[in-house]
Amino acid sequence: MKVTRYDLELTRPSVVALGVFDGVHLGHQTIVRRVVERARELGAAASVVTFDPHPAAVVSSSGGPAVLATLSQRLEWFEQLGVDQVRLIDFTMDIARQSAEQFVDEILVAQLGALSVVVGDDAHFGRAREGNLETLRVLGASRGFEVESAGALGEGRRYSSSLVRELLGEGDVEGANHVLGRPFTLRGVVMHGDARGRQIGYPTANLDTQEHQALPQLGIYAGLTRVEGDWIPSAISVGTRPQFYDGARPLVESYVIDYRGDLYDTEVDVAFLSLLRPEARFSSLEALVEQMGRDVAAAREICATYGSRRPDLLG
Amino acid sequence: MTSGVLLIDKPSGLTSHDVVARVRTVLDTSRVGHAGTLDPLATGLLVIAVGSATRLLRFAQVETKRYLARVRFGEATDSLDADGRVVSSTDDVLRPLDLVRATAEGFLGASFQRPPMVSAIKVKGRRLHELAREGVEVERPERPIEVTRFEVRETPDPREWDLDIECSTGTYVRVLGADLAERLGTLGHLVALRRLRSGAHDVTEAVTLEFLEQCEDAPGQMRLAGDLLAGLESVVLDEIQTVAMRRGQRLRLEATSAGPLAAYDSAGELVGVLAAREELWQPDVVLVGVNA
Repeated sequence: MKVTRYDLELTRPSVVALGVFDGVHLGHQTIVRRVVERARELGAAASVVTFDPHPAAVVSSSGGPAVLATLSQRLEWFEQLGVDQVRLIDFTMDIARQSAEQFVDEILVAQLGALSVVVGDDAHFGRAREGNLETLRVLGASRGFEVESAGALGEGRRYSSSLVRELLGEGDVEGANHVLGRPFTLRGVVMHGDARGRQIGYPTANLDTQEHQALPQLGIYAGLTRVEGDWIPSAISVGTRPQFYDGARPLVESYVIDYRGDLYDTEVDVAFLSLLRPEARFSSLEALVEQMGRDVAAAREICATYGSRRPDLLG
Repeated sequence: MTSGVLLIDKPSGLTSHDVVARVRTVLDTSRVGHAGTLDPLATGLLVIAVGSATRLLRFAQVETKRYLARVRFGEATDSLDADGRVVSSTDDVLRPLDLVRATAEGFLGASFQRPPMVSAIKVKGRRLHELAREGVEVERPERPIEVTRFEVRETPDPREWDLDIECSTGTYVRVLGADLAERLGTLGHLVALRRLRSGAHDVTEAVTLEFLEQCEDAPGQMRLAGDLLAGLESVVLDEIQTVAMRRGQRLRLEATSAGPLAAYDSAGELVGVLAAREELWQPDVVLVGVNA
């Protein structure tokens, strides 16, 4: 899979998926799968046009919504779905001011030679979100590309990145995982902490996640940590420790069960399977250690049920 | 002197001649021609010959071509595609997939097809599309065609169907689309057409015009002129025969087909094309020099 932030030297025309695709949930997967299928039919390249950073992070003063996944995760999922090339659009204020028509002509037609464009039926693009499915159809008719919408997917509520954020915020990891089509997974580098866990017999990997990363509600979770390609059962804490850290940014720590190696400065993925309990304060160190023993046992059990499936693979 | 074959993935909206004109500019040579016209609306594989390879175009007639067409039921147009005017319409457009598939299978095999009024074919020295513009409808003789694949796929729009068609050269896919609609008791015209294959060439090997214009080595995108002769029987000449052919002399050769033959020298360079003449093989086209 080819990835570029600049003009593509395209040998072939494209079938294009257009969107932010934060989290690459089941709705996104339907769109991208359709693009790959249509590209094979037409003898074209399966292309994704996506944005980095998230457009809302550029245009909104509040920094936009928290993001579900890193760019590298998004790209891995595109590759798994069979995408041939990804055109990343650096979402600067310049491109935010581009009209929908300019965007279509410069990126979709001139750079990608679009034969077909597939979007969600709620897609918006161009200045002030002026472009939508209908504008795209009108432009497609005069530029000679077909437009398909992959209608809404979901039970009761449509699958969306905001639904995933909402479910995570409620601690409903199972619900979020269902919409994502795989476990919610944080990617980050293990950094040095205060080694307090080590002192009480539970050394944890402290995860340095990307800025604006969406996190599940504070609490203790069962999950898996990927260490050098293997997914190892883990008890994960998403918590705040205001007495030691400034700011309200929660800390993600994973106790990788039965693992004795050194993870410092390596990149790991931490996948969430189920909420075990909310965050709590303990009257004594003994009570905390006892509870952690129960958490680890519960995490082992949940991971055993999950089996040998790999959280990084799309279903 | 540049010579060779270019496979271009034509975008919608350009005539085949527009593509030739742009290739002329990129390669800075006027000797450019194309095989098998694609309508302006159509996209996909257009085989372009450059330099002396243009002399081989008349042998490049391949037997089968493959297309992906999208037909929309409900409206008939005068050109049978979306470039034309709507001449009649109906609301009775929905048909079950099984029925469309079964009807499509009825087109398989050899049959006769009447060319559309809007086409480049000449009748009595006048091009049909010129006559059509004047409103003159003329008698058009049916021509033999063969359809070897006619698969139907659903599209997101229930009025539209994707048709994966493999057919003999000279078949009008537009007519197949309109005839399919007619046999299903409705009307229809093509809204999209893409050529996927032409003989041995596949659209996935083709490049876009934009790429050709931007890449640093446009002539490097060309294939050997001999690619155009993939449908012909080929013979390898020895040194004496090669010299003789270059001088225009007839050759005595063993061949299994009635010709024409693509003749290569012992180094694998294309020498030219031989045609049968009174028990012997006479040079029809001789390319001059290496990479002529």
